[in-house]
Amino acid sequence: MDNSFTKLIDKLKNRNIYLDKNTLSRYTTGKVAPFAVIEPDSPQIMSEVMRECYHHKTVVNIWGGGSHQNLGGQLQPYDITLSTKCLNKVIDYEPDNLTLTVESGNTLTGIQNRIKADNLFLPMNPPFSLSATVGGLAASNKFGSFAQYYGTFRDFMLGGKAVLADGQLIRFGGKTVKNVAGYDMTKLFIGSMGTIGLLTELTFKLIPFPEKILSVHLLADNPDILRSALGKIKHTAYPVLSSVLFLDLEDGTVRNPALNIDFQVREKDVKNYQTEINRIFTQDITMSENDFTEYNKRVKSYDAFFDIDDSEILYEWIVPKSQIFGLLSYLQKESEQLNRNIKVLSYPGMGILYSKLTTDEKNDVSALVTLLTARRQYVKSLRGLINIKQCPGQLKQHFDMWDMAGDQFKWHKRIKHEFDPTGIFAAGRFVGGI
Amino acid sequence: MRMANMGLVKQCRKICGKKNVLHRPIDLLLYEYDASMEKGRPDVIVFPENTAQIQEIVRMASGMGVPVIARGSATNLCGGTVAFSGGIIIEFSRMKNILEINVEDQLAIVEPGVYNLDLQNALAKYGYTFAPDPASQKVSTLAGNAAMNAGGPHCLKYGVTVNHVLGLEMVLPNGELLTIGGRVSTAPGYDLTGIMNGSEGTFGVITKLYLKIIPIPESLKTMLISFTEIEHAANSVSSIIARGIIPATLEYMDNLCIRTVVKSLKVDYPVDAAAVLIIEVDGPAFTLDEQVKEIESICKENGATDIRLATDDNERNTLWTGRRGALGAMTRLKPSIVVFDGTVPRNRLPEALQRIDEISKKFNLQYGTLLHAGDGNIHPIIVYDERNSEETNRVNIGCQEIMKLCVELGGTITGEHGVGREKIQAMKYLFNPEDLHAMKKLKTVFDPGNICNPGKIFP
Repeated sequence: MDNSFTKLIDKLKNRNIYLDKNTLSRYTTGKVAPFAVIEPDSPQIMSEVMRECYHHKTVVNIWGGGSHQNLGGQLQPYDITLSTKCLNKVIDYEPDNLTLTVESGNTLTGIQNRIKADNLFLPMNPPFSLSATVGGLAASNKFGSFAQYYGTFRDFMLGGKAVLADGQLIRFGGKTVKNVAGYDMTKLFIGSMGTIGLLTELTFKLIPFPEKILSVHLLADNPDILRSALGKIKHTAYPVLSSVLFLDLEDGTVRNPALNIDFQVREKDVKNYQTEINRIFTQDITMSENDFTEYNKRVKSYDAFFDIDDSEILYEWIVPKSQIFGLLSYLQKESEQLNRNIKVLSYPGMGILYSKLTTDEKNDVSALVTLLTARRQYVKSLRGLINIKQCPGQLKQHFDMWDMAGDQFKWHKRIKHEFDPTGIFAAGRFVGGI
Repeated sequence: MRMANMGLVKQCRKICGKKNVLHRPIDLLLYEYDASMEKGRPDVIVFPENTAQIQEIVRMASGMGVPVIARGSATNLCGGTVAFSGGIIIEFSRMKNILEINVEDQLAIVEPGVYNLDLQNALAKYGYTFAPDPASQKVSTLAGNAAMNAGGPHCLKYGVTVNHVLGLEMVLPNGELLTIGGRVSTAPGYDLTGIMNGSEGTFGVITKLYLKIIPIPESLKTMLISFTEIEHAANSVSSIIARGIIPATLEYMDNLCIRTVVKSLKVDYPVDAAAVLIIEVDGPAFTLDEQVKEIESICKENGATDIRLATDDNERNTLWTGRRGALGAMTRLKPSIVVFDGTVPRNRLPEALQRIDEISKKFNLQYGTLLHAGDGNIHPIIVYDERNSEETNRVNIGCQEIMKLCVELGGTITGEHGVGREKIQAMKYLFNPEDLHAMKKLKTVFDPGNICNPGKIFP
């Protein structure tokens, strides 16, 4: 710790600052531990802390619930962790306008519980919503299966506030569902992974709490049957909240395939939809009807897929929607050729597929790099891309985790430089190591 | 009258060909305005036939320090395409091809000059649609829609333009071609597609768009609901939203608008009503009757006096003809109009309408009001004669008051029309200097020389 840092710590001593080993170890990302953890309890204090960090050239890592700290590339060394834990107020809640403004340290589950009393819902189901904060989720642009119907953060986050590298507290967007006053800075902060600013406040549009979910379940070893079932609804405007496909590929064999297609319907329409669903699907389906709360518990079980252990790699494939089953065939062949087991969860309605690979061999690095190169080449032929969302820390240095097309990167780098010229926000996890 | 910059004209001709360049004073006059009150004369207008020509034009303009203003059909209502500092207007009427419609990937790829409605018509053959439907859709271009992040009646349910743009190809001020997003639903990195939408052509020139398309709903029901009091209509809107019903559209017209469209467009609207709501619900046929009943019930509770349900497509189209033609019809009342675009939280609509009426009385303004009511998006249309300086002055002051009111009620100065030149001073009502400075950082990244559409957005 240099003199400058000591001065900073001294200045911030009344600002919920923690220096004990116990706390520091809880805020360790990978193997990188901070020298201090600060938990400001208002945006103004967060701004003040950032101003001091900027002045002292102290590098900060932002921490929400900690659930997505392992996302992306290798975090570069930094000095302190700024936690949003104490930014947990509800700023403005207008059920009659279907909008909610909260501080960024609120958990998604906490918010859902609060607005459920007014029969409202924030239409998202990213993994780990119990511990994940809305600020962290927005910064990492996490989404779940409901994005097929409701979109991602960019579709329902209306505005917010953020602290920039130099400590300036700015606001952007607003609480109207339409707003074109100036540049849409909300979009800039969504998915920026804390590289250009720290979100302190977010405004969302809400929806009425869904009434009923009719789910179609299909088990079929033959992917063509699954494809055909999805084809039945693809060109319709039915309210398909989510379609999720699970399967395992074991040495080229498809195991445990399951397709769930969930329709969000009003209670009054349940019978008509049941009749319609039975008419549409000629495949051997089962159908279930659930209240949304009950259904949501089932959806939470999807989180287990994203709970990555120290030996696993999570890949995210993003392809044109028509290519999902072609991609599955490719993975099936790959699993056979490499004699590997691959676990798959896909949102076919969005052209997104996650695959998990276990790295149980000690000298696996070069094989994994070769595999990623081959996969990137293949997915490029589909006009899609593949990211590594998570992997063991020791492998990160060997991979380009993000698949960024063409000549874009320099513009991302310029944005980073303009907003954070001295590199106050910890680098390494975002595209190109930003 | 400014003389043409013949050196610039010569360069433009060399790049685009003589037939694709206009520079005579009479031509420039036609391109000095858009659908707003603002005016500014360009030096030259070019009609490029391809992206390579746009790259060359922009590169040349950057080298010479000459502004470049991308212009679709100039239907914007904010002075967004007016050349205040002269420069080159790039017009897209030679780039109007739909390059691909791919229903399996649910996307369309288009050149910048394709009209919104032309895409809709092409998609209808496949049972698909592009959801954003600004009132200008017959003639407004898709690049213009993206640049202004246009809205429209159906945006209540389906979202505004940015929610339907998957990717863009752009020529940046240095002439470089940048493709962002594309055929897939999401991509890593900063959301460049998101920030380019609504940037009003200040970052670069859009040359290609990747658009999300959606299946056309199976069925529609459209209602025209009449009220004898404005307040009853506004309360109905707030009640519908508060009950959690999101129709496909929820539009409002006041009495002056009603009478004007009846006279101009011969539509069958109730001329004695203080206001009407046009509400449309869509979805599978078997779901619609219940929704209609609920909406009818809420409106009756709030004092609706007449509810008419369109019985066929013809009747539905007639109802929409009145709404879509309302702005044009209002132009017949006086030589000049100004359309405002403030937006307020939906539960503040009754108060907003009442106070706009007070402001109008205070400044003796003649106005009618259209609302995308479900979005809280208010379009007071003030008619006046700009040759009367005293009246014009009153209009200007009244407009500023209305924008201040929208901000005071927790809303914004513009919901879908954009800032352009017209509202740059009002940006100060909404944002403090630090907020604006952060936005300017983005401008610095993409256009450090301030070549692209200068003089817009920022006060």
